[in-house]
Amino acid sequence: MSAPQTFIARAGGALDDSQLQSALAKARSGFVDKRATAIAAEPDFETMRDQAREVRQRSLANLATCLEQFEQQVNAAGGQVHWAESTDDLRRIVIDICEQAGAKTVTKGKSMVGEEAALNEALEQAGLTPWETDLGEYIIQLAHEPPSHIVAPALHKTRDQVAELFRDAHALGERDLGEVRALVDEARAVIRERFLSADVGITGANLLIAETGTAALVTNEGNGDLTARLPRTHIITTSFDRVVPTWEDASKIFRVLARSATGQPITAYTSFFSGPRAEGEQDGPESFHVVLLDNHRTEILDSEFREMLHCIRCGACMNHCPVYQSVGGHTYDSVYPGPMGAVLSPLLRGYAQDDELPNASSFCGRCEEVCPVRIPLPGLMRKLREREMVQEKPPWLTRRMLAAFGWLAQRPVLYRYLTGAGTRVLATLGRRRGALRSLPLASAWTAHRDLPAPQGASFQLRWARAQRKAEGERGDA
Amino acid sequence: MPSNSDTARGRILGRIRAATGEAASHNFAAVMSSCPSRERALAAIDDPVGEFRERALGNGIELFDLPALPGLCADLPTRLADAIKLARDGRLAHLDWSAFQLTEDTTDASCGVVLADGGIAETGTLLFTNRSVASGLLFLVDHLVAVLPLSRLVCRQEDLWKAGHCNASAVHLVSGPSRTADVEQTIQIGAHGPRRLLVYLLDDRAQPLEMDR
Ligand code: SF4
Repeated sequence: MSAPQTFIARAGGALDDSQLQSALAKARSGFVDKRATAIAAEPDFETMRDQAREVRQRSLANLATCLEQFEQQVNAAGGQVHWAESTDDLRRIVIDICEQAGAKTVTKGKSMVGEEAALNEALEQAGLTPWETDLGEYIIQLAHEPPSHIVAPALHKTRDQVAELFRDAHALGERDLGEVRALVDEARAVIRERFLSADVGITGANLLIAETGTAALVTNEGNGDLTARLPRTHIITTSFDRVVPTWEDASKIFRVLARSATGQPITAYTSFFSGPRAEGEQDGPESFHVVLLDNHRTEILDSEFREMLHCIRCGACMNHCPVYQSVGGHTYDSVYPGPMGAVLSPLLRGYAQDDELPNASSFCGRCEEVCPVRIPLPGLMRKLREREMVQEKPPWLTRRMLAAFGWLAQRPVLYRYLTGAGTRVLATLGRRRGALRSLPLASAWTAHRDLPAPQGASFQLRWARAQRKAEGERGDA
Repeated sequence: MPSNSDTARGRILGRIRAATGEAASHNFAAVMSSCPSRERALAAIDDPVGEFRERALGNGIELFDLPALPGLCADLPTRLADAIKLARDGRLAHLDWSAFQLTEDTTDASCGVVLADGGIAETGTLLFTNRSVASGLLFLVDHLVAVLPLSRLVCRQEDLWKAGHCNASAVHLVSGPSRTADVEQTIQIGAHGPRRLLVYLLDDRAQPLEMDR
């Protein structure tokens, strides 16, 4: 079944999906409350945000120099850096490395770049078996679905749905999978064997450290480390904008990353990989590869959207977004959903239908408020909207309505009269219940909620009255 | 390596330079010297041991005090279930392990006993490098027991980088047992790695460990 073509149509489906709504309800309070608690406990948090932002700015301003240093250090450690201009290039490079290693099976840690390049499908087509090891990624791999969140890929699934997927895939018979504990244990047992037998491990990287040619990886499960260290070959798929100059800089990013993502001061595991196993070391892969993806990021770097490359993929913007909270990640039809995806997806892929993504926002501003590196997401969405208006003429009806509104807004007397009249009509219609159950031309909206009837006059009218009253009181004094 | 527009590398770096305006003479030493001075903007940590304790407990670590290293083997059985197969860090091999069932194979061990290479107070974190500990020992066991000599505890991450822990092919910061919240955002301990993390704080500040002398 293919998803409907427009955001609006997909959002309608998402709102009607009771399983999805129940999964979203759990995530909503979870992420938001945990972040709030973590930040309340950290008096220096605003300083930490400033430091993290400074690191991202400085990294991008010196990007080519940092990348050359990174490459040189990886080479010196006996590893190899590969450059991929497109997602096609990335898939080809990864498959070549796997083939040279004579690989059949591949364990995978979570990599958003891997998702962006649809790497699993490509590996399968090349005759390899990719095994996702992050629990969330494993769940959506079984469901043949894309991730719906950049930190919690299976956020849209309820535990019953996960239990059903495991029953189908693992031949479990009647075993009780009612508790989350049982589900996690089941996955642990199945995936453990895979860690031990895979030929190649593919992970992402949260950061690259230029100074020493190091890839840093943040996880809670420990799957990333087992994927990186046990197979003979370790491939890291990431994008070049992840680079920072030094280990000190990396520390400044980590301080805000987990607090913003899951409300932890630090994740259970933060690991740093610099090349294959060296002389005298206890274990590690024999070969070590880093694949750096561009896929239009150099264009973003050279545009008014450069700040989007500051993103450290914490997910806070989507956790706090009222649109994302209501419709979930799949409605965005991109591996990058929510406010960051509404900016990034149109810039990375430029599909015609992506133009509607920057419109999927009420501009409430919470995303910018919580973004640890202070990316002005609403501002960037506004710029994308402006660009869309110039490049792509909106439909005739939209243009006529906007023109009519523009005309009206320039005529204050008429505007006041008409909005006042509208308010009175709605107030009269909803007088008895204080709300309207249905509205002509807006039945899809009122099917799920009532429109509160306006209480009294418009803001402008009340403001004018208050001013007059205040003046009167001053006059009396 | 010269930039070359015939290769993906050359084209990508060329586009980046065009965007950032980095001069050809710009080198990494210049980037390093443009990093803000390393003095702290964050509040000082006055009591690193107290901070470590509080943070570690918050991360779900079980904490114990160890007056002297040999006491470890006497205390451990009281913390673990009987008949547990145990793999240990080579640096702890000189202790008396006669009461335990030992294995060299980390895939077979249900408990790993290791010595931490460092500790970080600000987040209740342990540091291991694979010069001293195999990754498998940290991640494949059900129970991980770590000894942290307090002489190796620092206030912030940066202090460990300064101490030169950045040059192993794998450096692991471990801040709690393995966990996941991927099913309905419910935190579940023991995803792929250890279900328990026990940390013994060894006060070696008056008497440094043999290997540290
Ligand atoms: S845009 Fe900001 S809040 Fe959103 S994922 Fe990126 S860093 Fe986090």
